[in-house]
Amino acid sequence: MRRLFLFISIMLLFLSGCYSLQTEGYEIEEDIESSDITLKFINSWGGLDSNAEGLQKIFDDFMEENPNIKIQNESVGGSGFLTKIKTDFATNNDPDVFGIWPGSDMNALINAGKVADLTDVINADTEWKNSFGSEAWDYCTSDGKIYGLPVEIIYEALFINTEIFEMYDVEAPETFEDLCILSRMFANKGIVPIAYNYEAEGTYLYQNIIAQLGGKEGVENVDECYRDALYKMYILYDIRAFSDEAYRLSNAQRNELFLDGKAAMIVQGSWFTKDIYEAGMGNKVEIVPFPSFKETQRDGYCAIYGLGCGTFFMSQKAWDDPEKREACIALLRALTSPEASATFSRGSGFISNIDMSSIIREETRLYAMGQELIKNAECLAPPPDSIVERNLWEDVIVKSFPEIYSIGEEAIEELWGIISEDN
Amino acid sequence: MRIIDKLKTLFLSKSLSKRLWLFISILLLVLIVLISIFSYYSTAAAIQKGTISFSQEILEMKAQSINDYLDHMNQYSLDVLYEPAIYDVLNSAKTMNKEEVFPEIAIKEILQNQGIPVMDLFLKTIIARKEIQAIALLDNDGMIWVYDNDDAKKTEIQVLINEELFEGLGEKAQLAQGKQDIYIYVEDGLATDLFFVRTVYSKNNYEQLGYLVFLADKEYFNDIISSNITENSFSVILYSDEGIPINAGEEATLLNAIHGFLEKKIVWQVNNDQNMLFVRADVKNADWSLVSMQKLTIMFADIINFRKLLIVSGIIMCVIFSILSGIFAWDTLKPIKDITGAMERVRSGETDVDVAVKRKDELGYMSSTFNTMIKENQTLVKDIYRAEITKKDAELQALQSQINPHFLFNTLETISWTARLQNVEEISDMVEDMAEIMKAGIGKGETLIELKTEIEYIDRYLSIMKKRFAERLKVIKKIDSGLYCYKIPKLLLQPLIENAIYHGIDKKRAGGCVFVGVSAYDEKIEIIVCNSGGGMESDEVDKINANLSRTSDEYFFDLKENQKKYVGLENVNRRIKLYFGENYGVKIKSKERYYTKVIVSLPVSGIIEGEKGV
Repeated sequence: MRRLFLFISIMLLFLSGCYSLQTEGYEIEEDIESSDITLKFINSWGGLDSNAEGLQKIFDDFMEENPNIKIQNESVGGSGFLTKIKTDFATNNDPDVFGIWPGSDMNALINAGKVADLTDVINADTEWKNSFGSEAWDYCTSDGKIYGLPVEIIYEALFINTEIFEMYDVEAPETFEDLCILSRMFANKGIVPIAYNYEAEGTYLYQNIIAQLGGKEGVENVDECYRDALYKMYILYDIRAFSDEAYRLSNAQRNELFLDGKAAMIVQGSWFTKDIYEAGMGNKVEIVPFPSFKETQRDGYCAIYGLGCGTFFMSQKAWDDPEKREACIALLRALTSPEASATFSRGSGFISNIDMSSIIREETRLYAMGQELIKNAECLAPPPDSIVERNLWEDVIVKSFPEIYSIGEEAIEELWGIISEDN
Repeated sequence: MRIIDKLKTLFLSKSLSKRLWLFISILLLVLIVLISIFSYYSTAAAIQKGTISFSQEILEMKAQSINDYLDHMNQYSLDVLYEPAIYDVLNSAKTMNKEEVFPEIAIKEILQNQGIPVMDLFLKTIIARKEIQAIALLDNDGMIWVYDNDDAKKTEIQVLINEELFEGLGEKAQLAQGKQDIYIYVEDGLATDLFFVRTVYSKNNYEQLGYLVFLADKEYFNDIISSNITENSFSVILYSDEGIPINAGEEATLLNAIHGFLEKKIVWQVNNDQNMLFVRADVKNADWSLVSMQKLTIMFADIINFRKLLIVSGIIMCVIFSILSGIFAWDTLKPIKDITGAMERVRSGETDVDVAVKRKDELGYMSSTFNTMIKENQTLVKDIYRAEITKKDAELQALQSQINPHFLFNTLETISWTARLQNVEEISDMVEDMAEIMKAGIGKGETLIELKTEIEYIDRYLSIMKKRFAERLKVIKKIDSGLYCYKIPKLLLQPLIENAIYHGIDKKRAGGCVFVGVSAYDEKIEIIVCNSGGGMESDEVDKINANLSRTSDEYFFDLKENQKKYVGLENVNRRIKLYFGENYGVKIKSKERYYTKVIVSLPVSGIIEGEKGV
């Protein structure tokens, strides 16, 4: 009886336990973090850029090999790139991996502590480090620390339309004087001598004149060659070396002048070769050194040479994120692989700093011309726009040209005053 | 335990029917109560689950809307920061303030003019976006450019932002390092304004230039939280990561309860003190939490009605089941009670007891078995009774017969010797014969004797009878000598021969013949005693035969009132039946004026059986 009583009591307790209404719900589980890692990438190879397609292919291949890593490619082509990357950094919206050419912008980011120091990573893998051309390390090293991985080597030079030159039976200009004579001649024939505009990209011409006048030292020290070059620009304007509509041409329109055979010359960079091939001009264009200010070009010329936007960095923010760090390094390895360089150089004049001896690839004619040009240069100078502070370059120098062309010396001297003061 | 023992005693003292009724009633009551409790709780749980799930859906939807809203605000401020005009004016302000070329008032005027493109930008941004009430740009020295959708509030907002900037808004913005953060302006414990702030950094050297502040349109924001809520009993509060209620106008006690709920980090809670169900969902983009509140009384309104229904139906079911259990108990216990009553009657001496059997179930079987048992018992009792009576009678008769046999035998011996001395041989023989017969009758010896001995007794008897009847009596014997060794009850034939002589021969002047035959057939020994006397009427013969063929029970039953006729015959007959069973005994055949034949049948192998039976 007692046992029965006990049994019934236990059963009733058990049942009442089962059937009392719950008064609290389960605890909030901490979010199970997705194993997927998303990496944000920015460089200037976006939009219509010649490397955009190759870059996306590399990303697609990388994501296929690393299914847990997603790449958010926010690359912006053209002049929007710098605004985008700098605003993103300024608003704590940092990319994880990015490409930017060495120069003032890169230095500003490094100084603000926004770029990861890759020295240990790269030094730990000798094979990887040795796959890079060693001369380029200097460009992306600051205070003895390696920040960037140099892949793309760029140069700036004079691109000439051989068809036009052959039509008028003239040679490529070797000196600035030759350039002036040819310009006058083409202008008289109704052909635009030099495709040029007033945007920042139009200053490739100005930058090449600076390099020829000042050499590497002059460029790096921002000496009078910057002023003298302005005078030379004024001369070219004066002899109508540019289109009458140059002030309102966009960068694309400027390029089209040359690619459509309406302009005989253009000062451009190695990245332009892809556009040439795509426009079917591969055999009608030659790349020659920018005319020198010496008596003959054989006396030596200075080529603008440096690293392009294919110099890859990792943000400090990504480095500090233990989950992202390894993924970023893996992506950097992919971007700096010989295969990636082969992809970029396919059908273009892309010059890679990576040892591609292990890769069978097709070298284009323009690629060979570029290599030749660099090899024969007396000196290699960095692009002046990467030396002068970006603000000064874009907001002051670039915007001063209309004034210089209309006023002349006074405007040149005023601008030189600003430049020399800032440097 | 004493109480349990007392209850146990009390319980056991009650009748079986009451106990059974109590058992069934308690069982049904417990069953009804349990079913009611289970149904109630299951339904309540289902309603609660449904409400929680509904609340969660609403909250998830709202959380998503708020996430989208925050994304939009983030994107809008980012869009503004992509515009160079912002940096132009901030850089200009920085330069001018550093150089201090102009007096402060002049600088402000110049900067306001330089800020015109910024104001245009703000105007465009606000017009296209209802989420924003005002946008302000500030430099590090407190110079402010504000555009407010409501121009009247412009100064108010300007002052507010400036004050708050140094109270915490600026600090918050700086901690976010360029990312957008949310600053909630709190007045009297309640959020009145929502600011989205960003520190603006130089794009050239990433140094701080100032702040960009978006003031959220409170009405639009509240609409996101309170839209699609139609029920008065249901409301939603948004809590910031710092535990500030952003849209609340609730009482402090309720807010405290919600605080407690949020701190527990649970998804929902039934708060009986506040009569509320709290459900929570998180807004991931801002670490905010949405809490819905549903009044319990309204949520459980249906279940309260259901509870009433359960109680009423439970009571009705209890009454019905009690009646039914009573009927069941009565129906089950009635036959048991009947049997118990019958048993009581049997115990008090009644023998003719019978229980009415109306059912064919187990209880019916029990009743009929009881009846059978009682009947068998009666039979057994009668058998023992009769056996005892027979025994007593025999003993009595024996005692009556044993009147000083030694004296009688000695007397008879004296008579015999006197007659012999006086040469009256005849008397001497008669006396000897008589003495032998009396020995056999009175003597205590064996009850069964060999047929041969019995025949010797008969011969002595007939010898005496012949002295009396002389020529009138003729005796013919036909005895199978092979049967001499079979044992038969002592003095079985003497009464039959006596009857044959006194009722047959004696009544005829001319005398007659007595035939004694012993033979065996059909496993039976048949003894015939026949006289050629006057015979009997057939009715008389039938009557005697009917009496002889009665069973022992019938015989003893009739014994008390029976007349003393044919005692000898009956005696022989009963002795045979008692010894050998009802299949054996005496029969009479007779033809009036010619003969009377008495036929005695005995079993050939019945002697042993007969011995056992006695």
